[in-house]
Amino acid sequence: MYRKLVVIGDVGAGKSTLIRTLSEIETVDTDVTSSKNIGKPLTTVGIDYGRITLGEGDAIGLYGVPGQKRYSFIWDMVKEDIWACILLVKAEHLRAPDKLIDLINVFINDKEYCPLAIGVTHTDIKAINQVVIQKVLQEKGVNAPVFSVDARKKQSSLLLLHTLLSMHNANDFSKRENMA
Amino acid sequence: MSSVKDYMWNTLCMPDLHPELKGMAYKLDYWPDFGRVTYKHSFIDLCALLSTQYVSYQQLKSFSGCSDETISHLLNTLKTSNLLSTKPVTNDRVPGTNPFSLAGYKEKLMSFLRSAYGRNEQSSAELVRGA
Ligand SMILES: Nc1nc2c(ncn2[C@@H]2O[C@H](COP(=O)(O)OP(=O)(O)O)[C@@H](O)[C@H]2O)c(=O)[nH]1
Ligand SMILES: [Mg+2]
Repeated sequence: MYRKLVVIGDVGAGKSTLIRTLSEIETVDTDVTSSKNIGKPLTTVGIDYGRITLGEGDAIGLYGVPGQKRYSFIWDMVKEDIWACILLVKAEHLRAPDKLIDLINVFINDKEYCPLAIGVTHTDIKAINQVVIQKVLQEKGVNAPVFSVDARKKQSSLLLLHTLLSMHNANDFSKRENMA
Repeated sequence: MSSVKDYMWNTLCMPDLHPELKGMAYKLDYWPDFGRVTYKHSFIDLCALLSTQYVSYQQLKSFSGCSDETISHLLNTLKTSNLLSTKPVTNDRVPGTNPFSLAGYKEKLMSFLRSAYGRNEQSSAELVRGA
């Protein structure tokens, strides 16, 4: 079975890099030259795509999706039947964590359990207090781990992927325990 | 982060479960920042379970299959870091007697992670050095 892992985040947050790190196949990167100076020469205009093949018909598809509202037509194409979600935020863009709620709610809904993990990138440049961020999000009803990550590092991408799998397992386990 | 907490994450030798934690059920208030501390990979599994609801020591064991040393190490460190709530275990039904095992794609994804981790059972806080 094919499962969708969606990576949401603003331009420059590290989506393409993370998906490249995680995916063993060549990712389809739709970066094109941007006329606007955003601190890097290329910007994603569409979806990044990668894949983790697990054998015997199982695979995790990785979708990088831009977080700005003007890309909501792309959100509509990927937001159904998501297995898990990673939100990447650049540390310097994290002034108001509650602003992330609307975006999170597009992808996380009550239909089916879908774990969310938040990776804050560029923390090598600006450190964060991730407990404060978790607190603000919890007050808005979002329970999600927040980690300092570096999209360029394999360790960070494994941390995020492992966390999402563990959250699924924990959800299964606690369902089992509560039925017993 | 204070040096005591850093020390607790980093140490390989952890004494028994703190007396205040014995006979309690535990719940994770906030996740630790695994991007900034040294952690055993199984801590991720344990934290995920602790974040769902109050769970007992037995449930942690049955879910994760982790050693007592690993579970005590995590609980002691979470408590010291103010990330853990506790309450006395109320019902003494022995929960989770059947060990939890992964199947299907979850088992395959776990093997994918294990092979990516290689021989390492833990990851160190490489981000701290860049900060
Ligand atoms: N210093 C630093 N650079 C990063 C980090 N994560 C990603 N980058 C770099 O940030 C740039 C933007 O990343 P990219 O993956 O293209 O972002 P995207 O627009 O979300 O796809 C790239 O040059 C990455 O190498 C990080 O944690 N720290
Ligand atoms: Mg990109």
